[in-house]
Amino acid sequence: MGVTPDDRRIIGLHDVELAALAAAGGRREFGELVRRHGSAVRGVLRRMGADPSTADDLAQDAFLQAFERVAEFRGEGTFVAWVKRIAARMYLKRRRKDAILVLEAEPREPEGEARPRHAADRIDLDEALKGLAPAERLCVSLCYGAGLSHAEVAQALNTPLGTVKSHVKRGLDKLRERMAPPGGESDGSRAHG
Amino acid sequence: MDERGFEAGLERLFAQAPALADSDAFNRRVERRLNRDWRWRTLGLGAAGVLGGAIAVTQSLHSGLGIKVQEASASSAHAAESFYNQGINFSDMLMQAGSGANLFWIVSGCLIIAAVVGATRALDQV
Repeated sequence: MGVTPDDRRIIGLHDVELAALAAAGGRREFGELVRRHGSAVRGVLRRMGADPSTADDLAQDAFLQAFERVAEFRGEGTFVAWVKRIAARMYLKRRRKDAILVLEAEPREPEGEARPRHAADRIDLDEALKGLAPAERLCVSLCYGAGLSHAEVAQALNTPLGTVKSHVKRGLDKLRERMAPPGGESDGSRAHG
Repeated sequence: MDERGFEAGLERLFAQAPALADSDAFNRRVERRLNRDWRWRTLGLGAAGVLGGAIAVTQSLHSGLGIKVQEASASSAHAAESFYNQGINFSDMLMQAGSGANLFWIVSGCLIIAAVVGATRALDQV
């Protein structure tokens, strides 16, 4: 199927313009937003710990909800950040519903975890996240992937703020160690507010 | 790397969308659901419009709206007549322009037309 002039017009529009047209009922324009940001939303859900199938289902639901509420998007942040927040909240809701959202105050280390000691062991973000405890991974992904504040995460998880901060700090320390650049020093002892 | 630099780098890494092989299939699924939901919503709104119009017409017929409108027209005509008792006789004009019964049928007709237009649009969307 060839690209029509209308397709070219839509492809050339900015996210904010597409969102405004979608708010007026433009499903094709919203489809372009899905094409642009679908992978990012699916990716952040996977990084939070959702399995690929659940992540895809939730990402679909998040985009449909975003279409329903697209008039609320004012372009104050990026469109993809807005949808990621919707998706993150849906994921937390799903986990609460499935009663699998239990954050431990003192998380255990994942079994069989191997800490990279050398530059050659440096791994990418997705691999590094796998080495985190589930609660750490979730909190770090919610804060740095979905853009939620510590307080928002605490509220969404119904968990004390201090526990969330603790998970984030531990998670960051581990990520820093695993993702240290070749020859660079990793300092996991630095405190994180 | 300092703490802020590391966190900024982490945010950049999180912002990078992973390359997923089945992204086209995912996009199609979302668009299909979007279109399906839209059709159902349009159909639902159209049906609600038709139903609401039908109920409005039925209720109008049963509530004796025509008689009440006729009475209201008559009383306003009297008021106008007394107010302008030295001037132009507006009451005659009002009574001629539309008797209560005529007004009732005009309103009913408009409601029915609105219902038909709503149903037609809903069917067009589907």
